[in-house]
Amino acid sequence: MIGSEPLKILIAEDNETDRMILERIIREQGYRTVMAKNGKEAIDQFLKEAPSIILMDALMPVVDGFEATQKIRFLAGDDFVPILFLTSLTDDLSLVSCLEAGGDDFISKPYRPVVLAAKIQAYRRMLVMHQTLRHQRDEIARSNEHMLQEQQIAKKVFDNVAHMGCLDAANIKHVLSPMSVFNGDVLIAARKPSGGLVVLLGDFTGHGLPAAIGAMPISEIFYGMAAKGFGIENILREINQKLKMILPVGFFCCASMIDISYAQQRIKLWNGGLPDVLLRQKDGSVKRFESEHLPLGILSVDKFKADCVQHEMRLDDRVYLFSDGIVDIRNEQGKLFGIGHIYTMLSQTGETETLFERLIESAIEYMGPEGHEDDLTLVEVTMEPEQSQFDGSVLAKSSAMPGARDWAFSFEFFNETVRDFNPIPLMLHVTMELPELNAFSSDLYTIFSELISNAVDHGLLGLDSALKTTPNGFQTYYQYRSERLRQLSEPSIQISLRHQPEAEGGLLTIEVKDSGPGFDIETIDGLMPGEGEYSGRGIPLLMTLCETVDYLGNGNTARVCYRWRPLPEDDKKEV
Amino acid sequence: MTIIHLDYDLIHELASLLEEEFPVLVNTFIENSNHLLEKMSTLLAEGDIKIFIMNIHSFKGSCKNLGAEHLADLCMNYETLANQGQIERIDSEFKEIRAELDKVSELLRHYMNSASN
Repeated sequence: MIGSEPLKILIAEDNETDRMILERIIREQGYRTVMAKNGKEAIDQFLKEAPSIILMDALMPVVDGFEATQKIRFLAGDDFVPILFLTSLTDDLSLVSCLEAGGDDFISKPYRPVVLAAKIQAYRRMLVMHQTLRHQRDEIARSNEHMLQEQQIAKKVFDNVAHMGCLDAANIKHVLSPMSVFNGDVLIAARKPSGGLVVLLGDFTGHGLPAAIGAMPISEIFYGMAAKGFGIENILREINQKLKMILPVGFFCCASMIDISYAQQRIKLWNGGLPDVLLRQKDGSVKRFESEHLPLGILSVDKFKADCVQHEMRLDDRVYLFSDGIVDIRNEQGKLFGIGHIYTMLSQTGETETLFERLIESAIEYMGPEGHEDDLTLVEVTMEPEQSQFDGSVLAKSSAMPGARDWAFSFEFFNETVRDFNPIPLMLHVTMELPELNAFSSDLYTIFSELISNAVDHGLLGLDSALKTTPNGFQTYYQYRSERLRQLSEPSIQISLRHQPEAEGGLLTIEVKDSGPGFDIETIDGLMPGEGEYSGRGIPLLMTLCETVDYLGNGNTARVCYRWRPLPEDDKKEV
Repeated sequence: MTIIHLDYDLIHELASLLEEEFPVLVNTFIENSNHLLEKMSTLLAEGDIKIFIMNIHSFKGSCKNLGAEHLADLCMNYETLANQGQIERIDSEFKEIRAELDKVSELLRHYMNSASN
């Protein structure tokens, strides 16, 4: 180390009296000396003693100073070893040749102690500076390498967590920057157990790792809750609460989230701080849904509003979610691309299949060669026809645990809880403890929701589902429903789930008992519903899904048995 | 131009730097220089010009370091001639250089004697 102990200086000089004088001058300055009588000895001493500075005579026997210098430079590699030529050469050309041979400076004879001391001191300072620089350079290189490695790992982890959804579904098109995790964009989509999709596009404040960190809990909550059938209001509330808790002040996530129901052909959406969500209808009209909320992670639980806008969305209608990347594109004149531009493009009639691709092309063309395509994050979701109830979609990657196979679970809830609480996510949560049942969650969701709505609507309230066949009737029905629910005295619903393993698959028995007066099973309309209707399908639908459907006692206990077999490997959908 | 046989400022500096070692330096210089002159005569006789140049160059350097300026100048003349290949113009007996070396040696001894008294 330079500075802690005296520098070691190599003196290579063939003349004895010159050596004597030099050695004495150098020692008087407090340095240590190593001597060499020719170039060869100088090289040997350099390797053996690793001196910090070398004083080198030019003309020496065996190996001269020029050659020794070149050799030592080569051996020193990255190390800075100042070589000062000792010379009685006086012509400029000879002095230049000393420097060209790799010398850093020269000292003329006769030696003057003051001059020598000053030069050595100057090179000592340079050595310290060089060492500091090199140390810092290495430090920077190390930390940069470390950072890149961390980013790669972080991206890998993030990709595994965030991209297990259904972004590759046929009706979703999206563009997501390959380094989105570090520019704070997150785009996730999941199938709902009831059929349909939930999609969330988020844009975190800031860049880099801080922006990426928040994406992890968002994905976890999103996939976990979506798979269990939670509504987007609940998912948004949960994400907001989590982000509020973990993000420092000033960090938040602008987001828009949609819930698309194939069965009801409607979209539910929430926009907190992102550009307008655009819904392009088949006829070319475009609806704009502005941000009506603050971004996620700002408001406390009691102030956060998860109110969603609902709109009908017909077959082939398309909805577009954007981060502000595309909106903020400027052309070479500095003019914004803007949401208006996108609105106009989407309003064009004609071919709609390539609308998304044309939008991207147009954006890239607009920004010109200087633009950064990496900032674009947007998604298009197209409405699909109602899917088959027997679609065994895998909603989330199966848990690695073998899961509970032989169990019973019962749960009873009363009064306000009957009115306000949706037990279906809880029921799905319990049944998903057996990972293979993931594949049947769509069936299970339908069974649970039919049983629960039958228990409430018919068992407790005695409502006539025939009311629901017209749009007006729907409204009347729900009006009745909430009025009657308030009037009920001490309602309760009891749910019992029992799963028994079988040689292959298993049998799930579900009983739902309500505190109502019961009804005569014979009066229920047993016809299958017509296409597009979804009112009277309760019991017939249960019958198609379940092995048995029975009403026990005076009709206020419904019991269904659902038998499942494991899906063959190649039938499982990768999501 | 006056001829400077010995730079006394430099000699003072060396004497105070080397202290008791100064006489050793002086004696070594005188001894080595005489020895070198013998060697260089042989080299010239044998026509080994390259080694001759290296030696006269080295001798010149040590003369400079001891402040023997005129002696260094004489060496430089011969070094230049040798470099130019004009060997025939070099006096192989080094009469002039020997005379100057003797002069410098005498001055150095005198300096040491006066310094020790």
